[in-house]
Parts: sequence; C-alpha cells; structure tokens
Amino acid sequence: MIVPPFRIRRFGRTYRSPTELRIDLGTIAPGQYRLVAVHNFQLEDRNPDLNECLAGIFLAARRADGGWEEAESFPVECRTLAVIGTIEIAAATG
Amino acid sequence: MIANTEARDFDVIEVTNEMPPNRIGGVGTVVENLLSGFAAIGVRTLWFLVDHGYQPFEIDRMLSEYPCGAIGTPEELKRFAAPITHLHSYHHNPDLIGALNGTRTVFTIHSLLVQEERSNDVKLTSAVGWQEGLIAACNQVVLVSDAERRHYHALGYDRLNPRVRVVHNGLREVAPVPARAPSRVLGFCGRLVPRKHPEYVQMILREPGFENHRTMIAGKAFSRYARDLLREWDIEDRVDYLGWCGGARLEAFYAAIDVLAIPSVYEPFCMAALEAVARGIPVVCTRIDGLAEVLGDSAFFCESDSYADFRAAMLRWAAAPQAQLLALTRAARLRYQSRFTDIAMAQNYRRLFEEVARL
Repeated sequence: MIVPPFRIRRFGRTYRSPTELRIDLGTIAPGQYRLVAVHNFQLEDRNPDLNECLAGIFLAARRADGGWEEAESFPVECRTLAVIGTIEIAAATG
Repeated sequence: MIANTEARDFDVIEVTNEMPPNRIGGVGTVVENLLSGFAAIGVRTLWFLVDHGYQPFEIDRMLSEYPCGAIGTPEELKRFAAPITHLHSYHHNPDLIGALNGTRTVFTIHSLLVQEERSNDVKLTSAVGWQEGLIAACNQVVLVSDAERRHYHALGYDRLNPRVRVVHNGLREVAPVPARAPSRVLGFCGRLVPRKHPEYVQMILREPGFENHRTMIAGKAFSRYARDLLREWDIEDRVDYLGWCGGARLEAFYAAIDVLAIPSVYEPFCMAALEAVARGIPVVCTRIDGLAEVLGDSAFFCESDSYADFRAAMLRWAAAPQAQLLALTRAARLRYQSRFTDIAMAQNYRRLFEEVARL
C-alpha cells in the first residue's frame, strides 16, 4: 500500500507527511484495519515552523471485542488526527 | 559494519544506542553535547552505534553529518582500539558485556532505572537487571548528579561497583532569547511520563491569573491520559503539542515561551532546565535531585511536588517584578556558563578517562 504525501489541518496546526509512505501488507496479519493519520511523536522534528507538525500513518487493528487499537496507547504513543480509510486483509488461501 | 572513517585508533570509543539528528531521548541530547565538547578540546572519539532502531536513511544522515561514526555489533567493537570504552547503552544485549572483556570501561548511567520504576509506577525488571549487570561489569561508574550518587548508595549499588564518580552533563553555548514583550505562553519540555507531571502545566490554564495563557509542550510519547485531560478540562484549543523537538524547532520553542515548568518528582539531571537557563528563560520547578544542582537558588521552586505547591510557585513567577526575573535568569545563566557547558563536561570526562586508563 502506498500513501502519498499528505497534509491535515487539526488542533489549530498543519500536520504534514512530506514523503510517500509504503506499507508492506504481506507482513500484516489477516483482519480489518483502520488507516489512522497521526501526529508522529516518535520522530525528532527539526522544523522551526511551530504551526507545522510531523504526520504519520498508524495501522490500527480491529480487536476481538470489536473496538480498534488506539494510536495513543503504548508503544505507539502518537496523537490521532483522522481516520482516512479502512482495509481488510484476507487470510492466505491454498 | 558501516563506518565513515579509515582510522582505527582513538582516545575513546563512545558506545551508544542513539545519536542525533534523530535522538530517542535524553541520552541522545547528552551525546550531542559530548560530540561538540570532545571536538572542542581535541579528544579523538569514535561514535559507535549499537542495538539501535534507526532506518537506513537515518544512518546515512548520521554518517554524513558526524565524523568518525560506526554502526555495528558489539563484536565489531574489536576492530577499533582505544584506552577507554565509554558506554551509554541502555538496550539489553548480553554480547556487549562479552565484547568489553579486557578493555577499560566507563559506564555513564543517565538515570537509575529503579528510580524510574518508582517514580513512573512501571515495571522495568529486565532492564534493571541489565543495568545492574553493566554496573558490575565496568571499571568505573559515572552518575550525572550528586543526587544520583545518593540514590546509588541508598540502593546498595556500591556492592556491585564501588568506583563511582559524578560528571555533570553540559550544554553547548547558546544565545539568550532576545528581550520581548511577554507571549503568555507556558512551556514544558521532556518525555511525557508520570514522573514529570506534564498535566500540571495544562491544569494551571484554568486557574485565576492564567486565563489568557497558552501552554506549549515539546515532548515525546502522547497518551490516552493526555488526550482525555485536554477534553475533560476543555483546554484542547489552549494547549499546543509540538511533538519531539530538536534543532531549530527546539530553538523556536524556547523563543516562544515565557517560562519553563518542570514539576517532576525525579530528575537525574534535567537537560531541559539547563537548556532554558542557558537561554535566559525562568524556570518553575520542584527542588529535587539534579534540578537543585543545575539551578542552585536561581529558580521559582515548588515547596513539594503537589499541584497546589506548583500553582503557588507559578503565581510567584507571574507576580515577580521584571527586575527580579532579570536578576534570577542572569544568575542562572552565569551558573550554566561557569559549570555546565559542553566543554566543562568533556574536560571532566577526559580527566576521568586518564585516571581509569592508569588503573
């Protein structure tokens, strides 16, 4: 899956993902996932424009109880900005 | 192994899990200042990155921006020679202790993990065991404050290794922020963990006297607790989370705030306090551990780590006349320049390395 560069306006700021992101879905367990745009707290941000922040993508799995993983939980510890899509990864056949 | 140098002999090999430009935490900040300090006094240093989580593009950037770097396994340390190996490592790797066998080793403990367990109410059992193993295996332990040394003794760690020295951290010279009208922005800088009480500097926004202020937070590790606090206290539009700031962004953060709040219950040293006073920014903080050593009397101290005492100290700061603020920030900056520069830190380490090499 390829996520092109994007920007999202939230919380009075602009969150930018300046480069294309590639996620290898072949390494992901079967199930439903949300593509969550997040404020990325894991990378050091050196941009002096405080009105801009780093964005990233968190693939949130649907849990057995029907709820979704949260970006704010350990070990991701990022801030949810928006859900930008949902995907389903089927179990391999044969 | 990847290296950007042909040299194989050095004065010291610095072994770390993190390096700028993408620091993972406080260790990376200290390494950044050791880089400039050792360069300034001519210590020939190899920066050896081990057990890291960096992506290839980050490794490329490190190797292009910093001289004499290598990335490899503990076993590959043997390709280089130096009278001292200086460890900052906190990632568990039994091979590291084996690779150090026969070399003179100094281990800097940037925070005592038992203290982290207690102050953050988390279990770090295997990490604590790893840290204790390194303490026992090295020739010399370094702690970053006298307070840490007291904790070390209280924990009974002298039994593991009685050779202990304090070397305070240091910070590269920075310019004070230019004088300007108050921005009414309160600052917090650091990892967003329970022991640092980041919620205090947000809760204060609802107090009389702070109705027109905002809070700016430069730090790592957002949480559900932080998200829910913003909603429950209805302060989402008055708190600016900037993420993990470095370089020019950290400068912009300090240029934007009127005061730095550090209501921690445990601080082995507190580089953020040093960063603030070096720029002439007043600090409101608890009088504990490294904070008391870095700041002396030049801060607005809380009487305890309670929120009520934090609020009282913030009110004292807000009511302070300009002349008092100027005197306090000048005294704090002088203290930094006389004791806590990157060069002072580098000189202290060089003296210690020479002693340990003679053991």
